[in-house]
Amino acid sequence: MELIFTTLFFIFILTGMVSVVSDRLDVTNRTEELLDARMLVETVANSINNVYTAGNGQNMDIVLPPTVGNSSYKLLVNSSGVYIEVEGMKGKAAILPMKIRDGLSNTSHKIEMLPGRTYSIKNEKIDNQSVIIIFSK
Amino acid sequence: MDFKKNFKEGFKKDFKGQITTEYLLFAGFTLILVLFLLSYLGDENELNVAMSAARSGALEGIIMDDLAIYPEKSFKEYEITKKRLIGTSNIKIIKIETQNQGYDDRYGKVKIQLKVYASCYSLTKKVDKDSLGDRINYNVRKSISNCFGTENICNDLYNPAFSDNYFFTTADVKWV
Repeated sequence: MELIFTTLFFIFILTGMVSVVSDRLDVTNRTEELLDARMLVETVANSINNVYTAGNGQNMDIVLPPTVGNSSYKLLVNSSGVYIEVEGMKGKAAILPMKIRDGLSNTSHKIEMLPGRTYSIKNEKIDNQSVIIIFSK
Repeated sequence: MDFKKNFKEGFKKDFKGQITTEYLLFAGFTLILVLFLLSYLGDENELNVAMSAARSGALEGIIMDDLAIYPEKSFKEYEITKKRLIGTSNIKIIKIETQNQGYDDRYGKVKIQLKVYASCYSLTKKVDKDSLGDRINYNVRKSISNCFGTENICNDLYNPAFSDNYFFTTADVKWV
């Protein structure tokens, strides 16, 4: 008798809890993902700023993580900031206005950085102007 | 002395089965009480679950707002019209208030209005705060819908969000 009561009571509480707990877990995972994304984009923006302000010849390597949270992501850099796209969400970290190029072409204004790779950020003087060059190693 | 005597005799006589009878009476009574209270308890439980879902939804909305990582469509809009929102902000939830607005004939459910109180000192413009507030409210309703598995009967904005016996709307976020 007590067992039946206890079990029924337990099931009653559990049914209410399951959806709430799974909901909370989802929120936590999402938070981790967004937080990682924000931290990554700020780190990249910070590195680019540092290389730019340190002057010509400055060089820095950054290693991009394979995922943020548990999902893949996409990083884009242009002259106004670093953008991150993850799971249909987008965020931006601003950088100082500067000229940016990738290692291959001379006219690129938008550089895509891929997850899991190592990138070199370099400050070079081209036509008497500081230009930031970002290329995959 | 009288009591002592009775007590001793009580043991000698050994009231067989008294505990069992008392337990049965008690259990029977409890069972009837529980049956009467069941519908009420079920409703209360549903409301509790909904409130919990609302809280976690608000939290999710705030995290997006705080970290300034938005769905792509909103991001594009903010980048042109509300540049301040591209940077991070600092929002706190003060409380979530519920207001029972009675039975509604349209949906055949009881209407509950949720009102989120939040504070944010890093934003000054009302339009910016409204945008962030709308995102919090959207996530509150979405979370309730997800929790009760009613996404298919809600519209795109989950407005209103349904549970079994209630439906939920959100008032504009009150910034304090």
